Amino acid sequence: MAETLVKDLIEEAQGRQQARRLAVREFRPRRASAGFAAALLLTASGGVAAIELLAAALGSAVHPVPGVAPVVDVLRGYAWADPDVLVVAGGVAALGTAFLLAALPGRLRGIPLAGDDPRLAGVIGRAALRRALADAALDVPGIERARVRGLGVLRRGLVVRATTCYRNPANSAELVQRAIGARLDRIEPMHRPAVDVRLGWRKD
Amino acid sequence: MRIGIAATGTVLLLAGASALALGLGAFDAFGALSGRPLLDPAVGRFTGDHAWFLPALAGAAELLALTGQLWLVVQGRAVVHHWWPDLDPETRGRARAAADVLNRDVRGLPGVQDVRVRLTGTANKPRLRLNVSCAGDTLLSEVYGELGAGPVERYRRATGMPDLPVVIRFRPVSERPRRRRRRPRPETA
Repeated sequence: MAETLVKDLIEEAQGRQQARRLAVREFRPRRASAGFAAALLLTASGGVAAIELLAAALGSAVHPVPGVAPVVDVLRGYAWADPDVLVVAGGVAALGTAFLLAALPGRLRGIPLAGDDPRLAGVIGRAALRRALADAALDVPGIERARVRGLGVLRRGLVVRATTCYRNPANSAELVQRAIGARLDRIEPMHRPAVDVRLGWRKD
Repeated sequence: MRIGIAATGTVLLLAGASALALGLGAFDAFGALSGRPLLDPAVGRFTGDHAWFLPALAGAAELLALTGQLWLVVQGRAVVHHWWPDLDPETRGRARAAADVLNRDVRGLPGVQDVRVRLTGTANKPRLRLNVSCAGDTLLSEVYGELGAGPVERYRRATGMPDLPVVIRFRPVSERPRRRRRRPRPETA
């Protein structure tokens, strides 16, 4: 009995881990445009260089690729210390930095949902989750405005700014916190974000 | 994909930084390199003296171009398979029939308003993508669990793909305006 229980627990933990891996794999940003740009750059530069170098190796004085002849003249006329060359070199370095930044893993496209099926990955968008939580806060009696922020790169948790029409808020902040917690229970994200409720009330 | 992007970025960054350093005179200790032209006549003399250099460089450039082309094809293939799965007609027919049943089953779950089903990928690496629109206060955790246990499992059985990975994107629909209308205050006498 106890052995079965431990086995079940281990299998469940493994399932959760594999589900998390699938979610991370599926919802990691693809960086399709950066990949396409890099591949295009590689193909174009490699192709032009190969044609020109082969022509030069065969002893041809003609540049087969249109537009290369003026570029070669320009390259002969400029020195490394020319300001124009420095600007272009800086641009190339900046482009390289941009590609390197694009290669970073980045944050997931949405908030993955908890689950233990390794073949299933569910997600809810950040904006949709914030909207759902704001709706939950608005369900609390007396709350007339609610705004949810967070789940970003810098601010991982959630900040709920709610405003009540009452002059004495009493335990409204606690009620909002409970409503948000209950809505998070209904959604069940893989990583439950910390919730910080800031309540405003009538001062007149 | 990421490794390729990072490699391209590294090469560009190194090339740009080296050119900047050269132009700013960082290597002038080895001679007045910053004052020399970009296409130095010494390069022409070197290639003239070493007949193997240009063909070897051309070969390397050709390899680079081929790698780029292959990378473009792989990316294009992934985009195409995202919309048109590379499956045999029989599996495709079974998947279409199973998708109708899945569509009906998912719409029957509490809170679900709309669902879009799409089978993507290749026969070796298929994916089932579901876009589920539901009411804002839907019990998502339950719908997610029920989806995985019932309709999706039946879809897997019907298509003969027991290990089919399924990706579900939930879109809760909010029907409430962002700001609640202020209640009218009682008039004072």
